[in-house]
Amino acid sequence: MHKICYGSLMSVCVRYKVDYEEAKSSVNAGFLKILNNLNRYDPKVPFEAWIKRIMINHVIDEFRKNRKVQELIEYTDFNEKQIPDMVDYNEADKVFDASDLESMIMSLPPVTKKVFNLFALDGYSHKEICKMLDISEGTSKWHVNSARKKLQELINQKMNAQKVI
Amino acid sequence: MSNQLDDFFKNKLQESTFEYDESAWENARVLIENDERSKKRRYLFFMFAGLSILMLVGLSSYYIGRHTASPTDTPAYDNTPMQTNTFDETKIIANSDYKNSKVSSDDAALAVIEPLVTNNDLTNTTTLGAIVGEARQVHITPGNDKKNNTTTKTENNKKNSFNLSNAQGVVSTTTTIYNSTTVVTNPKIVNKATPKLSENQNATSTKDKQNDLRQLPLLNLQYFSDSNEKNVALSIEMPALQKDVEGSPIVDSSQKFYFGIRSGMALVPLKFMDFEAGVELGYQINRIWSISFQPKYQYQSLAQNTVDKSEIEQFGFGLRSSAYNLEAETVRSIHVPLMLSYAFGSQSMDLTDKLSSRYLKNKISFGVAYVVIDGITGTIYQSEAAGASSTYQSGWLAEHTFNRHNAEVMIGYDRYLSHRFSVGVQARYRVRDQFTEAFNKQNQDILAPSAFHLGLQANFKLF
Repeated sequence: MHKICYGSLMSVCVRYKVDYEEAKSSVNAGFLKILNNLNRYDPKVPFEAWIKRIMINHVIDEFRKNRKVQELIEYTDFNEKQIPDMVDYNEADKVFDASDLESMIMSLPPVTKKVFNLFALDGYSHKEICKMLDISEGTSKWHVNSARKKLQELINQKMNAQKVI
Repeated sequence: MSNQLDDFFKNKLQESTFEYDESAWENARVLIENDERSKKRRYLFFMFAGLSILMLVGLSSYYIGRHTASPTDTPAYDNTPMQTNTFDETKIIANSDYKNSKVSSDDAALAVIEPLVTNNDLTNTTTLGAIVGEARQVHITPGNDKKNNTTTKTENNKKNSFNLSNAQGVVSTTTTIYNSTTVVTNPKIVNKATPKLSENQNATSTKDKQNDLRQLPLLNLQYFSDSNEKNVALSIEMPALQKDVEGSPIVDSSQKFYFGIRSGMALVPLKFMDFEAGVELGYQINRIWSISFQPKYQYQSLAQNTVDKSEIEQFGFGLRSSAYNLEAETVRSIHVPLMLSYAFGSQSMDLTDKLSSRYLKNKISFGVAYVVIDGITGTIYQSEAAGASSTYQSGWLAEHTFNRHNAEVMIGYDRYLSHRFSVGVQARYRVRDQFTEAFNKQNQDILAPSAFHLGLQANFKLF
C-alpha cells in the first residue's frame, strides 16, 4: 500500500515542501494518517483523490503548527489584478519538464507557495484557503498574485537563458 | 492570462512521476511502529489516570464517609446488637460518680456514660447512651453499682442496643446495653496520639487531668433516650474546642506564613537525570484556604555524551490554594490544591546544526491531594500526605529541538518523619516523550526520557 500511495503523495508534498527530503518525511507522516483513517474511507470517492486530500490537510496542519505569527503579513485590502501574460506556453511546454516546475514552486516563499498550490493546483477557493491558513481573503489573493508573478519571471528567465545558449 | 499559467502548471505537474524509494518504506515502518507504541502508551496512560482518579475518589469517599457524622447527630438505633456480649466485670472500672472514676490513662478516658438507671419492666425500657464527638477517644465506663443486675437477653432487649460506630474518628467501641444492665464488650481504645492541650489545660497536672475529666478538652457527650421519662441531660460542662490549636503549621493563627524547601530526584530512568528543587512560601488566609508561591528549579540532563549540550533547565512558579473539606479538625481530609503555575526557562540544547531557540513553557497544573489531620488531639498537622496532579505543558519551540507540549500525571506520597521533615515517593507518567519525532529521527542515539518516572522527594518546613 505504501508503494501504491507513494507517487501520489509525493506529487503533493514536493509542491508544498522546501525540498525532496522534507517531502519524503511528510509523505510518511501523511501515510500514517491514511492508515489510521482507512476505516473512514468511502469507496464512492476515488482513492487517489482521497489520499491526496488527506496529504494536503496534513501538510497544512504541519504548517499551522510550525508557523510563527510574524510570518504572516496581512493584506486585507488587496484586490486581485490580472497580470499580463508574457509567457509563450507552447514554447514553455517544450522547454520545461515537471521537475523544473516543481523546483520553481519550491523556490516560492512558504505561505505564497501554500496559497498558490491550494488555489491554482488543488482547486480550493480563497474562502477555503482563508479558513485553512487563518488569513484574510485579500492576503490569499495577494499570495496567488505574487506567486504567479514570480513563476512567470522564473519561466521567462529560464527560457531567455535557453535562447542565449 | 494567469489562468493559463495555472493550467500550464497543473497539466505539466501531472506528468510528474516518482520512483519508489525503498528507504522511504523503512522510515514509514519505524513511524508506524512508533505510532503503535504511542497508542499503547496512551492507552496505558488513560488506564493509569483512570485508576488514579478512581483510587482517589474511592479513598476520599471512604475517609469522608467514615468520618462525616456530626458530633451532635443522634445515631440511628441498631436493632441488631453488634456483638453478642458477655458481661465482663473486669471491664467495668467506674461507678456512677464519674468524678471518682479511675481511668486507664489520661489519653484514653475521654467519655463517661452515666450509670444506667433502669427497671426490669421489659415494656418500659430506657436506653441511655452517649455519642462521642468526632474522633475523640472514648473509654466507656459504666457504673458498677448496677453490675449485679442480671442480664436478660430477649428479643425486646435488642431494641435497646446502640453502637458508636457512627461516631467520627477512630472510635471503634461497640457497646450494647440491655434492659436492666449495661454490658460493655471489648472496648477498643485506640491511642494514636497524645492530646495537645491548650495553654490553660497544660497547666493542669497529669494527676488532675486523670481525676478531673472535665478538664479534658475534647469530650462532647450527648444524652439521648427513647423514653422521655428519664430524659435528664447529662450536664458535663466541657470547654469549647480551641480553634486556634497549637502545633499546627497550617492553622495556627500565629503562623500565618510558612516556608518550606522541597526537592526531589528521579530514580528511574537512570540514563536521564531529573532533579527538581524548590521552595514554598505560603500564607494561611483563613482556616480553610491557604495560598502559596512555589518557585522551583528543574534540571534534566541526558547521561549520554552524544550531543554537545544536553541540558534542559526549567524554572517555574505556581500558586496553590488549599481547601480542607472539613468542618472540624478531626479526621483525614481531602486537600484540594488548586494549582496555577507558569513555568519558564531556557534550553541550551543545540542538537541540530541550525536550530537554537529559547525554550519557553506554559504550564498548567491541577490536582488533588489529601492530608491526614489528627483529630484525636484537635491538632492539625500533616502526618502524611498524598496526592495526584496532572500537568499540561506547552511552549513555543523549534520543531527539531524540544517537545512543544506534553502532559503528565503524577501521584505522590509523603510521610512526615517529624513536624518539619517529610520524605516521599512520587510516580509520574508522561503522555509524550519530551523530544519530537523529528528530533528523535535526527538523534537516534539519544535516549528520550521514559514516560514512566519514579522518584524520591523530600520536604523541609522551616517555619
